[in-house]
Amino acid sequence: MQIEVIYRDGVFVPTVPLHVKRERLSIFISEDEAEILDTKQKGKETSTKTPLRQQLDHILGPYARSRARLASMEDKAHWHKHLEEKHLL
Amino acid sequence: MKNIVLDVNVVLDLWLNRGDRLHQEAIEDVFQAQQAGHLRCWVSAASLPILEYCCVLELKKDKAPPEEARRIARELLAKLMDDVGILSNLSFQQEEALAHGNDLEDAQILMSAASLHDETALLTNDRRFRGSHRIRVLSVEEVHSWLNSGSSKEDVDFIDLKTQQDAIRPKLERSIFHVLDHGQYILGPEVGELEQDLASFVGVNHCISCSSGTDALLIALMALDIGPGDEVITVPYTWISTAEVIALLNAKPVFVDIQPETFNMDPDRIEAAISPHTKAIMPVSIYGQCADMTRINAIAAKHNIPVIEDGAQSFGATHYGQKSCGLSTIGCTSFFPSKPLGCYGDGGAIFSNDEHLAEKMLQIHVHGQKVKHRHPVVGINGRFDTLQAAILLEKLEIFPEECALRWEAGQRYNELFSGISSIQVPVIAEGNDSVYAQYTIRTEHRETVSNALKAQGIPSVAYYVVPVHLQGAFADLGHKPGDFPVAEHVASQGLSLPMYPYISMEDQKKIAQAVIESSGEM
Repeated sequence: MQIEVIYRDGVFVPTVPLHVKRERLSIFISEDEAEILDTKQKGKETSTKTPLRQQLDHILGPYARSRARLASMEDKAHWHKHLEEKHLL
Repeated sequence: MKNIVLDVNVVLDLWLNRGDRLHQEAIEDVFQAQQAGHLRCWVSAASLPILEYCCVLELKKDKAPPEEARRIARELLAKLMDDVGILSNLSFQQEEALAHGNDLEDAQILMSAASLHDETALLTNDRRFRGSHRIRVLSVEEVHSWLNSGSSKEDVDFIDLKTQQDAIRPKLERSIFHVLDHGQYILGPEVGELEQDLASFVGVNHCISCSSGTDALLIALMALDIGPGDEVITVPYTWISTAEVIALLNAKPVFVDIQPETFNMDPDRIEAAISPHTKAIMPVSIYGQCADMTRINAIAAKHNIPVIEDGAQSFGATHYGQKSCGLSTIGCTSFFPSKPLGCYGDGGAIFSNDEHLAEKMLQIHVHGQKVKHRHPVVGINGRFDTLQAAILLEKLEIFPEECALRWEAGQRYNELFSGISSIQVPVIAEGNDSVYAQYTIRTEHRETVSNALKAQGIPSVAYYVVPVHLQGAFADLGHKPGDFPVAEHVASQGLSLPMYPYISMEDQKKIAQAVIESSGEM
């Protein structure tokens, strides 16, 4: 049997109420409609992203990654250094 | 509603995914709370260049070409401006910012945050912000407990204009400053634009904005040539101006009583009041609900009398699907600040489908002037200010949504008072909805209830406690107590409770509980 599902955040949701006899099923997705991710970890990250994170990562493109948090004054220090270079040096 | 101002470091943490999962989740939860309508997020305009610079710097560390890094930073800024409100740094705030402390940027952020009315917190990783500020300073770690805590505000507003202002503050500032820039303070372009939008909203051909709701009524009566010896039928349970404008033209207000359930003109009593001198019928659509305009119009048509709807309180309400102010010969409304659609001063508007009357009212509202130096009729100084028009244009954008919120708030009150026999809730007549300019209950224990509410920091107002026919200004009409028993009864029992689009269920429960307890029901 073939049914329609919606794919969102790593989860397939059937568009009609469905009762199945087994917990595990095989589904068929044609190659041009899916991208196999490299590692399990990467797959896990994708599925837990909030819509906001997904939107921000989409804008960041290849530069989307987790980063270490800076000390609270570091951003301001960068900015002040920039102002110094721009206006004083 | 709570407001939260995001410091530069917090926005950068969010954008660049900096910090551990808990840190990220806490910031993202702030945005989710905004989406759920629990708070409003803001960023100071002073923060924007720093955000751009630091973001570009970080992306360059990842080997992003400078132009690519700048493009991404600008896209993130654009998204931020979609997602949060931008707080202005106004010129007059800078002097105070300079005096505030060593760090001008921090002071600018605090100054702009201080323009927000409700409970406001600054979210920052910067511990230097801690100290004696007018707003609370939160770390990301503290944000969950702040989000989950109730409002620290204990008193309830009777009408809350601040929440609305916070919601559209950037748009209001843009509109106000635009008027300051172009300088056409009298009949500037915003006035015409607003009139078109209002006419379209009401569904009529003509709208003339004017200086107040009272002047709207006066202009309407003048356009109908009402003067000495004429009679105008209206109600005694209303704000004084309804009858005042009739008397100002030396005509006579002829009162008919109201319906006890809706507080509006009782159509069954109109025909008995019609005389050969009757020149207009002026029903009031009180407390946000239209009078029975279908029946009133039918009676008026039978006697060939024009109808002026005093829709000062009902703008936005509908009667069988048609908007208030578009239901009769002329419709008048008020934009007094506390009205459902209110400006930041006095204002009003007149509506009609009658081209001849509209032309005449247009002239009357500018000293009877038709073209420059030509005044074919006597008029008044009744123009609407450009600044107020600019403000209303922004408020009109969100008005339909606010009407729906008012309706929901009214229904919530109805449910909370359901089954309480000592409280009569306002009845909405068939074919009507209401914008609940006021949510007015009737109770025999008005004073007790009002005092009990006051003791809990809940304001309430008894409107029109002396009906117009018993006012000294109308003593010459010779009315006495008992002439209009329904109006007098409602005047002795009516009590308006806090009502505005953004009133919370929590506050409504508190109000209803106080009313029910003090009315002897618990």
